Amino acid sequence: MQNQISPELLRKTLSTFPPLDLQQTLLDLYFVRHNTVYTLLHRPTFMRLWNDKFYERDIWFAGTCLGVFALASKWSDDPRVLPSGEEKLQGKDLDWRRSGFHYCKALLGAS
Amino acid sequence: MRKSSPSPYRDARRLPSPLTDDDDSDFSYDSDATDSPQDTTSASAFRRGLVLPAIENVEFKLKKLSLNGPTVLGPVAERQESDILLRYHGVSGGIESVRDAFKLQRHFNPHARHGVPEGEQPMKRPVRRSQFWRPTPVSNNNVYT
Repeated sequence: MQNQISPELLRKTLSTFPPLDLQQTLLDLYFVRHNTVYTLLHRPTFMRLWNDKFYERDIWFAGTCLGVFALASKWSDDPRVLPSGEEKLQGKDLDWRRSGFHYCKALLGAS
Repeated sequence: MRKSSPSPYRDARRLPSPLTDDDDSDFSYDSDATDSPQDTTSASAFRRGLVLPAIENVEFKLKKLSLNGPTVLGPVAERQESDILLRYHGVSGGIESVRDAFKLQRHFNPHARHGVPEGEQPMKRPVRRSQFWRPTPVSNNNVYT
């Protein structure tokens, strides 16, 4: 696959990842809140690859992580899940409807 | 006659006493509490983030990504993908994983009937037990008379 050997695309995808603490929170939220009714992803397999930092070597898994972040942002109350810039608006109501949109956009753009 | 003795758990099982006017402080409604965006309840989660079509789109993308990359699909999703391939592409037998199945799917021409490339014979399907069953032929002779 061409994407698999494109370090530029992988680097660009990784740059859209949230901070590490938020990553862990979003993963927990996804598997607790979203991946319960229809278990799309196998959590032990996913977490094993995640702990090995496989997303730094494989663009497909990095995209999978982005999708997980996009879906889990719905359940997070951390302002960092909002697109960049919106969380810095002080004194205004944050538009939580846009939470996780930038992950979704990066995912659709990367794949 | 059975002697009734007070149960040691009686106090623990006893229902709470009716509330008096002085007790309602624990159940007071907090009028200042609003449904703020910081709520993580499910009710507020439905009003934020991706809507359902976008969620389905992302989940479909997750499926494809996890099939191309490391297989992280759960067993239900994996079985569904296999069933789809079996049903629509006539691929049966020898599929140990969804990844192999999708390799076969890419190999086949999706526009051809049963997903078989032109000039090739379709793969032989396994005979199911139900295929041995034949309906009883209907005749004019009533065997019960």
